[in-house]
This record gives sequence, structure tokens and C-alpha cells, in this order.
Amino acid sequence: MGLSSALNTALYGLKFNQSQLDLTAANIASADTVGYTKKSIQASVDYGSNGQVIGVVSDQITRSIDENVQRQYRASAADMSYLDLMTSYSARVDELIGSLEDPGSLSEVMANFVSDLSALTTSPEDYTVRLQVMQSAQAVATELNSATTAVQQMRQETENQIGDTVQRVNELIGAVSDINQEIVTQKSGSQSTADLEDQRDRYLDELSGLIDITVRDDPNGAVRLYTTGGMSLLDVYPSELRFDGRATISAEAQWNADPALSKTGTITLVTPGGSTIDMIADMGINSGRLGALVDMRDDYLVEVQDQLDEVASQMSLALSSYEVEGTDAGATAPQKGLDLDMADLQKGNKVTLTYTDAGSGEEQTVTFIRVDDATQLPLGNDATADPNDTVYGIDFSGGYASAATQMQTALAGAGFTVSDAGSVFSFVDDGGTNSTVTGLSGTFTATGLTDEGTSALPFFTDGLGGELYTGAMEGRDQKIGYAGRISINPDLVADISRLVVFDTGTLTESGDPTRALAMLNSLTQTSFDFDSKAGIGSDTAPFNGTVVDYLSEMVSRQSAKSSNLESASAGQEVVTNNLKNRLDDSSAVNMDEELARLIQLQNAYTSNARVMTVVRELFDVLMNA
Amino acid sequence: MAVNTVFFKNSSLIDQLTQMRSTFDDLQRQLATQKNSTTYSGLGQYRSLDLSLKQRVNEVGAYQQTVSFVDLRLNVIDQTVGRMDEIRSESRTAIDPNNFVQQADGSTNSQTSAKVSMVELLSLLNSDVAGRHLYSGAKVDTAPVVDMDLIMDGDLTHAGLKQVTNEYVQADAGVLNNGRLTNTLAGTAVTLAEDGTHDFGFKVAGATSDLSNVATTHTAGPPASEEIDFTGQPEAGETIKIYLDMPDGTQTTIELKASDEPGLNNGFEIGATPADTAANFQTALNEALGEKASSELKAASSYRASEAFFSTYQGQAVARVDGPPYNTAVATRDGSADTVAWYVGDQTVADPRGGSSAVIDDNFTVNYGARANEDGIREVVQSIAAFVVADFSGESEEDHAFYSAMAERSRSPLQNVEGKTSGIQKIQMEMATTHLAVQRVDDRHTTTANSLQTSVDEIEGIDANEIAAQVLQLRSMMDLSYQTTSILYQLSLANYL
Repeated sequence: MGLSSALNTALYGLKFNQSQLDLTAANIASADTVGYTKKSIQASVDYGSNGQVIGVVSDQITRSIDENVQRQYRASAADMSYLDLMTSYSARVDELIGSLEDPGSLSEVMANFVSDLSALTTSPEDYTVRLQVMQSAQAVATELNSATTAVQQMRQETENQIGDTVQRVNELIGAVSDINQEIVTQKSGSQSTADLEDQRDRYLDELSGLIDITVRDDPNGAVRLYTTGGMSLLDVYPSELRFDGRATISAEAQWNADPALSKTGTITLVTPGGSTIDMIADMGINSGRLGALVDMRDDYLVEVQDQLDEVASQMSLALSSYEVEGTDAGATAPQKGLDLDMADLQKGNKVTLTYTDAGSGEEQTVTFIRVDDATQLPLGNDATADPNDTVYGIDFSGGYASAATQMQTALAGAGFTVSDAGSVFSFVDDGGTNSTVTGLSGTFTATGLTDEGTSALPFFTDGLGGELYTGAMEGRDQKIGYAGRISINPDLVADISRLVVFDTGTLTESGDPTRALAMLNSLTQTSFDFDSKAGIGSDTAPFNGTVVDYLSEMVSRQSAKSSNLESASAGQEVVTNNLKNRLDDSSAVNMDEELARLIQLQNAYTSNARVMTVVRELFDVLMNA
Repeated sequence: MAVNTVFFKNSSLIDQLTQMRSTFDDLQRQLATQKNSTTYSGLGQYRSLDLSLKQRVNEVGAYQQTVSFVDLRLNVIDQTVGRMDEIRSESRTAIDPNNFVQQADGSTNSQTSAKVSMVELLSLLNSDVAGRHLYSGAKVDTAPVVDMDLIMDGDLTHAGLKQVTNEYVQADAGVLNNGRLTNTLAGTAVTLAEDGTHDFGFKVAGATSDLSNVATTHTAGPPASEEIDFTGQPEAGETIKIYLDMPDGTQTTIELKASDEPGLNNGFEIGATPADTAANFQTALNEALGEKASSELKAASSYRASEAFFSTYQGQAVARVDGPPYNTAVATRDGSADTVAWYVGDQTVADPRGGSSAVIDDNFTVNYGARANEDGIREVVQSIAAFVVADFSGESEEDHAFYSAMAERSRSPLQNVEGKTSGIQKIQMEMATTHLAVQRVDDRHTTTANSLQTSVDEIEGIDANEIAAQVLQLRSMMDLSYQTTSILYQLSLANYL
């Protein structure tokens, strides 16, 4: 122990003071820098051989952060950005169809249409009233068209955003991968990696908002990234996400697990080894902005579109369909039979046969649907909204005899004999051994403006070309995207007297309200089963009501969904903000603390310097003695 | 590579401030719009209720619109039918059987006033509400009746009422102008017989006689005949009555009195022998038949012609006399092709009320159609028209009798039989009942719509006081927050070093 060792210790102290000052200065300077965590430095004391302190050495700089909170925060942030995006889109859907006072909203234009039809029943002869009906019908069609455009526009946006987001995810994973390498290198050279870790956390925070990830720490300082589903995004080398976005998205364009059938882009994960995984088919993305975009594009907005299509479809069919009851086929007792002429059966039209099953005593319903394309067969029971019927698709492209044979095959178990004389089909039971026929009816779509059914009118057609809407399944289901194509029958536009005139044989009087009443009733009085695939009602208990009821139900449902998302989002925001506060508290720079430390350091520095001065004086005394 | 600002320092404080600010903006919007939300999603649990209430408001609104149309039309019907009934009673007063005053043009005063009534009646029947004719059944875009001149005179290819009447008058009068009868004398027996089996002229219904030594034998036919056989001489003052049915369903009587003197009006001289008496009787009978044929039969004939012309209900064809020649005609024919159709409205439904119907409430349909050719109205038009078309210009004694007979006939359907209501009044009463039902439904709709709207307003609307209180409270909270935040940021040790 000597003067020189005291000098040495003081020197070490000064050096350590300087490091501390550096760090405090850095903390103060970066206090408001985003993602900056408070740094602190520890010192080790070096002891001499007989226990005396010979110096202090600064150690590793450490970051102050609560890693548990950080993990929770990231999961919560993913959910928050998921809900944020869902909420912003659902609010737009709500604005689109659930505006309270918008005179152009779907429920308002429909109400106008109904009210104008009602006026037509009282003044069928009035040209102005007829014109008004046409205009309000046009408004309904236009509103359905523009709602479809808006919904598909939103889907197009999501498609584009998925592309952008995937690109950003790739950039972030790449950046994290780069920093990983840097950290590993620095760490092996025992250098401080705190700032690099700060930088990496910023990337990871952003990434966790885009896609739901789990982060695992490696002992060497690197991190590995996985999706919450367990797919590896970054191991030693980064994986890459690819997205084959489509330039135009329409209602008909829907995602399919089969790449050949899919008409929207899908997200593929390409591992460093080159294998590929379909992230959408394998449910690889569950949350985050990307998850929200995919859900919006493939579920939420598709459901909205399905409901619009359902409204358009049922409204068209309600106006254009007419029912024909079967007539007695004159079978020999005890057999009973019913005849039905199917000459006017359009593709997509239905024939319903009911019979009592002798075994169970229960009423059975069989529905035959005309298809002209054998590749569509067989149809499932969900081809009709009715939960209690058995559905058979019958291919009519081979003529009536072939159709009769197909029906015979379908009904063989029930003991029916089906025969045809031209277009007239006979369904004869087996006299109660297996079955007793109780009813037969066909629902046909009127093709012309007059003389079909009493008042069926194909008011709306599929597209401006005037293609008949029958809900046919050829090629594609005609219902899909129909709301975007629905337009007023051009023939009706050319001759609006057909709003009233339904019979040209004995010409309907201009004041005859029959057709107007039938149209009004088919929209406001007649109840239908609605397809549960559109998200309202269930397979076993489909929504049953009028077209107007369904529209209200749809508005109410979409508004409820929007409102639920909004409150979920608000809740999530509170949770995320709380976590963020805790995270911030654990890592934030407290200015007062730093300033207080500054005073402390100043004192320490002065003291160390004082020690050195004293040692120098002592040396002087020693030398000059 | 830019790093997005993932989190701000002290962001929760900023979040809270922005949150307050947006709540404040929303409250302002609520005050400005008086609605608590712009979309259904903001209505909370009342969303479905609100939608179904509004759907019902729309339905009721549509019914109210319908009711306002129907109400207007029923008002007009009520007024026009009421006026038609007034015309009916005015005409009855005007057509006075005893008031035969001719004007320069040959028509009588009463005919002129009947003509005015007819024109007014036709124009009432053609009345419309906003282009909708009320008396055309379902053919509301067509004026139901053609104009008076066409009805009376017809055109090049269509016969009018005058022509049709003329044909009937000829057919009923016959060649001998005695109502298509033959009157033969064989020895002491006079036989009065119809000249064939047809619907024209007099129909011999029978005879009652208190003539001594006279036997009457009725042969029912057709053709019917009556033989009056003078087996001996009757006493003077004894009478015989011969009953003759006329084409309009009325009956006339010829009464002849046996007399010792010649030349007695409505009498015959008892001759030297029963055969002479029979011959005198035949002459007197011929004379009486001629008189009846030119007066009462002519009136009955005109009346029947008018009935045939106007009875076109539900497409019933106009029955025209099959001719020429008309005075020997034995049948009628379908005249729809060459006769003026006075009513050109709807003919399809049996019930004229079914021509217009309106749904004024759930499952409540009112029928308020009317047709110009439904019975109550047609009878009035037809009676007046028959009177107008008659020609009294001869100013003979027969014309006087014809006038009286015609006036009687025209008056009777116009008459309000004691204790009974006229056909027109029945229509008016039916319409009034319907109108009352419509007005009651309308009252109910108004009440319903108001209460529905109140509920909707309660759901969608705001309580201005509450919002104002909230705004005040929020404002003071924001004030405080801003101040505290500002103080917080100023507090730093740096200021005190």
C-alpha cells in the first residue's frame, strides 16, 4: 500500500465516474426517444492481495426492461391491431348499410319501393305512380349494386394491404435477422449489445402488430421468431412470406384452398430450406393486422356480400316466381298420383313433392332442382334453405325422359313410379305400402312480362342484358355476386304498362290492382326461408320472414357486429395501454433520478479528483523533503 | 430503414386527452343532430327494436298514403252520387204527366229539362280524380260513358237510341198499327189473335165480360187468342174488358160498352142481329187497339227499347229488332256490332265494387269501385233518356196519351217508393259505409304512427339537458386535465439545479 496505489484507485474511480456520466448523459438525451430503455452500469471492485481495494472496473451495460410484461404487451398489441382494423372496416360496413338518416340507405330505398308499390295498388292507371315504382325499383337495384361495389372495393383494399403488409413483415424479419447476427458477434467480443437490443425490440414491437408472433431468446443473444401457430419465421435464417395478390377482386372472386380454384391471393411461407406452407389454409395467421386483413377479405366482407346477394336473390324470386299445383294423375285406387307440367321449369327452379311415409307416418318432402349441367350433381340438402327436405338435382339436359328416370331413381325407395308424357310428369305412389303422395307443386320463374302465373313478373334480371335470374347453379352459383349485377328487366323499362297488365289474352284493365297487390304482398307479406349460409339463421332453423324483414335483420346484425367489435376494440385498447404503461415504467428514463445521479457523480468525481490532488501534494512533500 | 413510432412516451396521457376530445366532439354532434348515433350500431340493444319500429312506421305510412287516395276518391264519389240522386228527384218533378207544353222545336218543356238533366248526369258519370275515372270499374283510364249526341243519334256505323227506339216502336206496332194483332170476324164470333210467336206487340192475356149471351174463349198459345162469340144480343150498358200485356211488362185494358146508340166512344152498338153486333164490336175493338197502340204501347215500346239499349251490364249484348222490315219482325238480334255502346268502361267483374280495391291495413281491403251501368244508375239514365228521345211533335190526341204514358213510365223508376231507397241512394249508402270504415282506419293509423314515431325518437333521439350536463362536466374535466398535464411537464429537477 502506497501513494501510487491510492493514485491508481482514484484514477479507476475517475474512469468509472466518466462512464457513469456518459451513460447518464445518454439516458437524459434519449429520454424521449421511442423504444429507448433506461441503461445502467455496474462496477466490480478489484481487491489487492491483502484485501485492500485497488480499483473499480465498469462492467456490462444493462437495459432496464420487464421481459414478462414485454411478452404480454406484444400478444396484446397483435390483438389490438387486429381489432383496430376489423373495427375500422366494420364501421364502414355499418355506415354503408346501417345509416340512420341516409335517404339512400338500403333500408330507406327498400321502404320507398314498398311504399310506391302500395301507391300503385291504389292508382295502377297513374303513369306518374308507375314511373315512380320504376324509379324506386331502380334505386333499390342501384343501391344493391353500389353496396356490392363498396364491399368489393373494401376487399380489394384488403387484398392490396395484405401485399404491403407481407412485404413489411418480410423487411422486419430480415432486419431482426441482421441485428441477431450483429448481437451474436458483439456478444462474443464481450461488447455491449444494449442499443442493438433496443433497436431489435422496436422491430419486434412493430412486427407483433402486423402478425401474431412468439419470440424465443437464444443463449447467444439472438432471438427466434415463430407464429403463435408454431410456424418458424426466423431461425438462424429468415423465412419469407409470399403473397400472390390479384389486381381485381369481385364478389365472385373468393379464396380457395385449392390454388387452381382460388381467385384471391394466398399467403405462402417459404422456409430457408425451400418448403412452402399455405398460411391461410393452415391457419398460420390468427391475429395482428395481417390476420385481420385476411379475415376481413375472406369472412366478414364475404358474409356482408352473401347477405346482399340473398336480399337481391329473394327479392327477385319473390316477384318473378309463381307456383303451379299438381293435378290428379288419375291413378287406380288405392294408388294415388299427381301430374305436373314441367315445360316452364327453368334451371334452378324447384319441384316439391310431399308424401306420408308408411313406416314412420311422417310427412316427407323431396325437392327436385333443375340443373342443366351434370357436373353440378349431386346437390346437397343445403341447396335449399328448407331444413326438412331431401334435395335431388335433376339434369334436364338429356330431355324429359332422362329427367323422369333420374327422379324415379331418387324416389325408388319410397315406392314411387315416375313417368313422363312429354313435359307432363306423373308421380304415382304405391298405394300406401311405402308411401302416400300428399302434394306436388312446382315453383317456376316467369320468363316473359305477361301471361305466366297470375301475376309473376321478372322485375329484376341478372345484368343489363336481361338474363333471367332463377338462382341457377350452372358454372357458378348465380346468386354469388347477384347484388352487384341486379338490374331492372330492360323489357319492363321499355313497357312500364306491364307493371299492371299481366294478361294479354283478355287484356288487363289499366285500373286492375291485381299485379301491384301481388308484388306488394310478395315483398311484405309472403314469408320465405332464407339461406343460412349468408350468416343469418342456422341450417336447422333458417331465418323465416319477408324480404323486408330479412333486410332489417341484416342491418341489425351488421350494426351489432360493428358495435361489438368497437367495444371489444375499446376493451383491448385499455388492456394494451395498461401493459404499455407498465412496460414504459419499467424501461423509461426518470429525469429527476438521472439529474440526482448527476449531482452524485459530480461529488464522486470531485472527491476522486481531490484524492489525486492530495496524493500529488504528498508526493511534493516527499520529493522536496 | 425507418422505424415506425411503435409507442410514444407517456402515450396513455395523450390517449386519454384525445379520448376526451373525441367524446366532446361526439357530444357536440349529438347536440347538433339531435340523434344519439349516426348508425344503427350506436343504438345498442334497441337496434332491432328501432329497425322493426321503423319498418312498421313505413308500413303504416304506406297505408296512410293509400287511405288519402281512397279518401279523396270516396269524397268525389259521395258528391257525384249525391248529385245524381238530386237529379233523379228533380227529373221526377219535372216529368209531369199532365204538363204537356210544347215548344217551337216540337219537344216539350219537360223534355228540355230532362235533356239538361241527362247531360249533367253523363258528365257526372265521367268525373275523374287526377285522371282516374270513378265510374269505369277497373278501366279507370277511360271515360265510362260516351256523349249525349252519340247516345241519341249514333254515327255512320252505329245506331243511337233514337234508331233503336224507332225499330222497337215499329216492331211493336205492326203493319196494322194495332200491336201486331189480327182481328177477324166469322159469323157471330170475333177472334182477337196475336199475329205470330214473337215478343212484339200486345199479348192477349184474357178477357172478362158481363155481356149477356157472349162467350169468351181464351187460347193460351202462343200465339194466344181470344174468341168473343156473340151467341145472342148483350144488354146496353154491359161491358167487356180485354186485357193486353205490353212489352215493358205492364198491362193495359180495353173496355168496350154495349150501347143502343152508335158512335159511342169506347162502345159498340148493339146491332140488329148478333152478327151485326159482332161486326160493330170488331170495328170498335180495332179503333180502341189503334188508340192504345199509338199511346200506351208506343210508350211501353220506347221504354223497352231504352232498356235494351242501356242494359249492357257485364257485356250483355244490346238486343236489336231483327229487320228490316221491322213491323213484321219476329226476333231480336245481337246489336253490339252496329249499336252505340253508351258505356265503355270495365265489364269484367260481376260486382261493380270489386272494380277498385285498396289495402288500407293488414288484411283489410276495401272495395269502392262503381260503374255507370250498374243498376241504380242505369235505371235513372235510361228513364230520362227514353223520355228525351220520345217524339210528341204530332200534337194529336194520341201524342197526349203517349206523353202521359211515357211520363208515367219515366217517373216510376225515378220515384222513391215509400219506405224504400232508390238504387242510387243504395250506392251512396254503400260508399258512405266504406268511407266511414276508411276514416276510422285512418284515425287508427295516425295514432299508431304517432306512437311508433315517439318510440323511434326516444331510441334515436337525445335528452338535450343530459347532453348539456355531460358537456359541462366533460369541459371541466378537460380543463383540469390540460392544466395538470401542463404542470406535470413543467416539473423537472432541471429547473432547480
